[in-house]
Order: sequence, then C-alpha cells, then structure tokens
Amino acid sequence: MTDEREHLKKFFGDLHEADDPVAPHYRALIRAADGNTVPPVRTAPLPVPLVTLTRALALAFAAGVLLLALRGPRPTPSDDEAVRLATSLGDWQAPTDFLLQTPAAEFLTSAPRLGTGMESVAGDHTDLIETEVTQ
Amino acid sequence: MNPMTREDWERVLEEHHLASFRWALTCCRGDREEARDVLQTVYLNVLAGRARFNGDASPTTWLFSVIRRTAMGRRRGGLVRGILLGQWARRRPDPPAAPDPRAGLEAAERTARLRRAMTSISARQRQVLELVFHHDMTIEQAAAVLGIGVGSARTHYERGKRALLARLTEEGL
Repeated sequence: MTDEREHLKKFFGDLHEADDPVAPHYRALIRAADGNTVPPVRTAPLPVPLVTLTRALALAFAAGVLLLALRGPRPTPSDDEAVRLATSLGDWQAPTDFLLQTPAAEFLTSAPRLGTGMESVAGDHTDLIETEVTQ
Repeated sequence: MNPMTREDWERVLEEHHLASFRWALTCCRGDREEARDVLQTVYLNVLAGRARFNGDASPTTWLFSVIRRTAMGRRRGGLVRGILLGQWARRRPDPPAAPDPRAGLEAAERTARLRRAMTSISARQRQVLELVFHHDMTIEQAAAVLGIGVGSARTHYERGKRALLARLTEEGL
C-alpha cells in the first residue's frame, strides 16, 4: 500500500514538474490582480458569421412582422354562414349508414293497433303472411 | 475566530502559490493560460473580500475549492460564449505541453507518457487522486474541495487509483 502511495505521489510530482517552469510568478500575478478591478476575461473578436447570423435573424423578424401586418385580422364567419354550417352538419349522413338499415326495420318503429287488420301495420305484409301459411 | 486580514491572505496565497497553480492547471485540464487567468481571478476575489472564508474548513481546502469553482464557472461561461459565437464546433483542444527545452528527449517522452496515463482516468478521479497524493489531503478534505460526498470521493479514489496504477504498469512507468 505504501509502495502504491509513493508510486502515485512520484507520478503526480513528475507530472507537475514539467509545468512548474511556466507557473506565473506570485508577485506578478498579485500586481496584475491589484491592477485589475474586474476579473480577467479572455475575449475573442466577434467572428464574421455571428454578424451575418444576427443580420439574418433581424431580417427574418422584420419579414414576420411585415407579413402579420399585411394579413390584417382574420375574418370571422357571419351569422347566416354560421346557420348554414350548422344545418349542413345536421343533414350529414355517415357513408356506412346503410349497413344499419336491416330488412323489415319499419316493423320495429310502429306498433299494431288492436282490432285492426294487418293494413294498419306499416311495411310490406306479404312476407309475414307467407311465413304464417308455411307454418 | 479573528477574521483574516488582507496581509494574512497574501501570506497564505504566497505559501500555496505553486500548489494553487498546479491545482488550477488540473481544474483547467492542462490549459496553462486558463489556469493563470483562473488564479488571477481567485487572488483578486480573495484579496478584495469577494470570496469569503467562513472558517468551516482549512484555508487551503477553502482556497482549492474557490479555484475549482472559479475554473468551473469560467469553463461554463466559455462554453456558452463558444456556442453563442459559433466557436464550439471548432474549439481547439487543450494545447499540448511544450517540452522543456532544458530537458532531453527522454524526459519529454516520459512526460508525454505520464500525461497519456493521466488521460486514462476521468477528470473527477484525477482531481481526487491529485488532492490526495499530490496535495496530501484526506479523502474527506478532497470531498470538501470538490463539493461531493465522502462516499462518492472514496469511490472515485478507489476506481481511479486502480485504473491509474494499471495504466502506469502498461506504460512501464
């Protein structure tokens, strides 16, 4: 364990030895720090692409504003048109509506009255009569 | 406890100057110019009283912690600036260490191997190991400097040590 510790201590020592000659002098750094009132920040000159990008963004923004101004407010539907729309919605039928229309469905929507013949019952009676005869 | 005066701090900073530079270098991933700027910022903030020492840790631990935070803040700021300025894609890698002209080829080669070995572990493992083995801190102190839990620091220490020793053996160091 001690060997490992010594080995790693030596490793880090050797690693930093190469950097020591370039270490800034303490006094020089303090003088520089005293001379500065704000922390040093390395700044780079604005690259050309940024200027181009800024201009492009400004142009796009101006174009958007202009487009909105030219379009004006969105038109709202009048009352007549609203009624027409509502009616058309009420008349609408599903394309598969015929699948729900079963044979003799009309018998289910009306009831026979007592004391009257088959004529009072809505729908085609021939099928029913034939069925009774065969039975 | 008496608050430390500017003169006290100047003495502490001078005593720890080389160690502070080495630590700043580690926090800046080997960028010497950046390490120098970080150190200057830290000295300025400490001497101007902007970085306040509350006595919870030793001055060294606190100073190293301030260096780490300053380096981290500058790196984040640099990253944001880089993205905003469109430089992130063409960021230059950390400059390779210039060989010491006084040192021979063999020494330069050895330094290169040492640096290669160092890259085999994560930045956090490197920081923990450096604090423990180079700056003679305990794992608890290293954890305080890095702002992480002791358990986490211990894990970084164990894993990093194992990996680094293995790599040093591979490199024949």
